[in-house]
Amino acid sequence: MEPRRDTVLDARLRRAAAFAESDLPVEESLGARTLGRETAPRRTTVKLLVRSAELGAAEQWLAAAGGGVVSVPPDPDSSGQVVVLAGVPVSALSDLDGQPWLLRAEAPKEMFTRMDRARGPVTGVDAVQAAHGDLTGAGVLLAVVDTGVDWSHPDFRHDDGTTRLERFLHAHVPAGTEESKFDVFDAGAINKALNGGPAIPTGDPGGHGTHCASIAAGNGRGATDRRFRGVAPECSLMGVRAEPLLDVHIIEGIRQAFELAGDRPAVVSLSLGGHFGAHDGTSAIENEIARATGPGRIVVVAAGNEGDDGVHAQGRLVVGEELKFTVRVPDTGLVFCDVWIPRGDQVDVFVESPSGTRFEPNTGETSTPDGTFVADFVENPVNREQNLTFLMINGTVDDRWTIRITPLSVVHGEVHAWAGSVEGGRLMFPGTPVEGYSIGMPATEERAIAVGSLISRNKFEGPQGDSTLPGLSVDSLSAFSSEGPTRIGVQKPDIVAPGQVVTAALSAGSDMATNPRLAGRRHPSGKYVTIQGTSMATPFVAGIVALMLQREPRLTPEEVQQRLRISARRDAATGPVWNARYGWGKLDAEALFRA
Amino acid sequence: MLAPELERWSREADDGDRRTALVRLRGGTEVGEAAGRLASLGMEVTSSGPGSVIGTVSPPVLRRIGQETWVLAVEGPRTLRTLGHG
Repeated sequence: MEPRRDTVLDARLRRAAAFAESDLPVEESLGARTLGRETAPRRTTVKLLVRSAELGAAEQWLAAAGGGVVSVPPDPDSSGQVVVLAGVPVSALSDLDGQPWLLRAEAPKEMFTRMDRARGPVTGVDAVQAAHGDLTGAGVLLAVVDTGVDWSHPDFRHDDGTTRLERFLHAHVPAGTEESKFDVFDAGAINKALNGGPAIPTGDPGGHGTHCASIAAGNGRGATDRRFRGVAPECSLMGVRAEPLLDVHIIEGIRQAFELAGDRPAVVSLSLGGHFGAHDGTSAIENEIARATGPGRIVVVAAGNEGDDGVHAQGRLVVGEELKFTVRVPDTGLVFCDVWIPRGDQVDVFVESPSGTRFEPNTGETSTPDGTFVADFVENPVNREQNLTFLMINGTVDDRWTIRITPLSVVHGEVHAWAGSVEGGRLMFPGTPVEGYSIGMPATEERAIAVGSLISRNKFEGPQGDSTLPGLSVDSLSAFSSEGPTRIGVQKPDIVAPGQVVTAALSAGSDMATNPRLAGRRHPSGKYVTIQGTSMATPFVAGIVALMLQREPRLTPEEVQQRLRISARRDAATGPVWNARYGWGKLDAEALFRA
Repeated sequence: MLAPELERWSREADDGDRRTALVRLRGGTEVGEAAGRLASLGMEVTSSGPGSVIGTVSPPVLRRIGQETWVLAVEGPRTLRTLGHG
């Protein structure tokens, strides 16, 4: 079957035109309601794509038909075609379809909310900024330490086209080496690159960091009505392209951000994490956050997306009983498992292969028919706890490896284990209930603001028009949002904020721009994309913190946490006190800035 | 105090090989002085801040650092991941 080629009206206008020429009563006609009203309209506003040179002819036709021009762009001759907003009698739509100057006519389209939804009733940010017009993040430095920031994207440029980034840091490991390098580019270098001068590294080949930066601080210039602007659109920006996402790169990013801020307040947004470590605030990156933060120095971190992944297991040591953790080999054939046994408990530890052979740890790399592994059992020099790390490659998918722990004497007895693979991993401990402790590091650090994800909408505008994501219940927690507490009982996450789903800036040429899996998530403008994760909730809160610091530049992490806590919205789902899934509740900017 | 992976690397790598390491400092250690001392031991320091120093080391340098009493731990870089959920 061939498609129709004899009309330039969109489907809704065609149906409305057909109704106008029929004798059907309103209640029996789909076309009568096709323009989105309860009764058939006599006149509608349409978008007309017209050749610039024939704009006069269009205006003449509209006047003769009883309609008229509502608006035209200020400089209609700047390109060959122009979009005219016009009022048109519904009875004239059929005649409109045959006009030689008309390239396309579209009915008004209901625009589903995006960042505006996140800023709207769900969090109250719009109301806050309407009441306090100067609350834009001005005077605060916001750093996004991530896969980078597309410095060429319009949302990160001033109206004169110059960059909003004060610094772009490229932290990378050159090919063939294991040495990290840190290349710094200031605003001058970025502006020269924007104007055809000496090239600097691409801003964000991954695309993730650009999306995050846009949520926190994009100014929305990529869309005419700026509806995708971020929470703090006038703050100063720093972008870090960490490649790969090594903790040393992140640590240096935090250091440079706070150094660059000087006397100004600063907030760092980290939409990243991992589960390889003690989950108790003693890892290097947690330690950095604990020590580098303070008055006017805040770090916001994503809680993690492992809420329903089954990456954690726990058990209790009882003398005379063997404790075992069974770990599944996922599709990648690679497994890591990190087991933490309290200081003072005496145990014997073994690794058992799927075929039943037992191995002692600390014997170096061991090859077996079931895979090659390394198991180290050490006392961690920082927290003095006992740590078994098991790393296995070339395993058979769905095989089970077993960590066996025989208690000899027990003082404390609470043992925790995390397991994962490349890019996370799911259901790593078969048969183990999913019971919290899925907050990733460094969100486990007490002084970090740890953020979970709330579903803020279930519709977005994709390349084929409006799309709905079935099964998402607005204003409830995302199923993937990681649950607390931490291994040592710290109450994380602190708060939940819009993370599912969010439309924000798309890095040009990035993986997100080319990945077929995201084809249906790209905005027609080509400058925005809709994704989800605690990654998206985190910069939203970082933007909020920038607004808080604009008002009170010396707020400490504890004060920020306290204000978020006392102003958070609580309901039947969150309960009246902290809970492992929602933290202290749902972000409520109106209450926060009213306080 | 060397992380097992670094300890293995220092045994197996050639003396001329180099990699990034992160040195954790014991409480009370002054970071600037520690960075200077690590540089004098042969570490190419790329970053220093509260509680840790990051730099490039060779196996002999790593072993020397591991003997310093003010060093709490020496770790290799750990990989994190972004938390977008598709």
